[in-house]
Amino acid sequence: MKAYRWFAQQSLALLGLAFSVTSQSAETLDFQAIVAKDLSEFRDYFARRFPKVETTEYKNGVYAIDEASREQWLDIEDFPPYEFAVDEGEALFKIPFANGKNYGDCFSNGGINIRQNYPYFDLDAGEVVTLELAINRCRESNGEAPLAYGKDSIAVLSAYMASTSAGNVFATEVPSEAAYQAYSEGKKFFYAKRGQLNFSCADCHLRVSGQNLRADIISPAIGHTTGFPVYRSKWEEMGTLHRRYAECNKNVRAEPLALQGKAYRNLEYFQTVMSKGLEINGPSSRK
Amino acid sequence: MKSSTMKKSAMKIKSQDGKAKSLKSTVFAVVLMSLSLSVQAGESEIRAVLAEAKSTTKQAAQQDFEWTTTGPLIKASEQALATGEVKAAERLAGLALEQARQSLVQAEYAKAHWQDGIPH
Repeated sequence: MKAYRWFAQQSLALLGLAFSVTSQSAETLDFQAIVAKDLSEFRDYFARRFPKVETTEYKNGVYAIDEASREQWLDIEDFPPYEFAVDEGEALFKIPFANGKNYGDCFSNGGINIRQNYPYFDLDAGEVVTLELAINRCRESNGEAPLAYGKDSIAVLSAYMASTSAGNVFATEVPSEAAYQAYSEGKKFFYAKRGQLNFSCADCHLRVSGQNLRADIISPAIGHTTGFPVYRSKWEEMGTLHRRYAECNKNVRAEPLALQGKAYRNLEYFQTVMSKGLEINGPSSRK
Repeated sequence: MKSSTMKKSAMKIKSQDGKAKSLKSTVFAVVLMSLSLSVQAGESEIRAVLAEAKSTTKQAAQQDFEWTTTGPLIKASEQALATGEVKAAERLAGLALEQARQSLVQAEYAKAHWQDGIPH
């Protein structure tokens, strides 16, 4: 009887200890509150910087904040340069793999109308999964060679999948502490200065957004992920968001990192959380 | 008395003159030797500087902070060494090491100061 009572007391004590530890760690790291605060401060910053611009407009990148650029862009959009890419992507999307399956078999809803679900934090794998990464994993799981990241086939496939999701809004969540870790890594990357020119993403796309960088006007960071992949006039072809990240890094004389590597995926995750509530309007065109 | 003293003095001067001459030639030889040695040591020193620049760049790259400008400087220095342009190689290696060190400083600085750019 004594042993039974002792065992019950010990169990209760352990249970109490476990509960107090859990509630303590929840208290020490309320990551949901931190993310909500980050988003609020991010939005507030741009609301102060561009008071006349509606938040929903930031899906259009620099064309949300500069009227002259917007007019040129709208003219381009009359005959969108990415239209062929969407058709090409659709054709590729429907070609069956050697095993008879196709891309649609790898994604929910047959891969249609799902762009807003990417990137997400995969709780089992403990990593951020972007749409382009998922496309390649789909290929590999069906015995196909992965595509090169950045342009060509991966960009047109991504363009087609984005086109089927136009108008849907990003609702990217940070569901766990591990996800928050990935989000924080992306956030650090965004704010850390790098390259010989000692510039961070934030230096250009927050602090001096809307100002001229030679002949270009610097886009605001909010909404950066909504329009990709893009047909970029400078490239004269389609390209993915990570290709653009690499280009930005080179511009500040920082060695670009691996496309779809952990660092860029975490950066995309952070940026997409900061674009929460904005509509997908990719593929699109950029200067 | 006077003439013997004069002779002695003359001999002394002569011997001093001879010593000075031999000292001069010794100094000259040492300078020549050190010059030729310094060229040889320069090459090995440059290679050591390049090795340090490479390892420092690698450390910066491991933290995702490598600069695009450091690698080309290292290559240019190695090419200059290969073609015997030692002075140019030395200058380029020095620049490469300086940039590699700065990129590492940037990486370390970012660890503590990345939050400085967050708007409030």
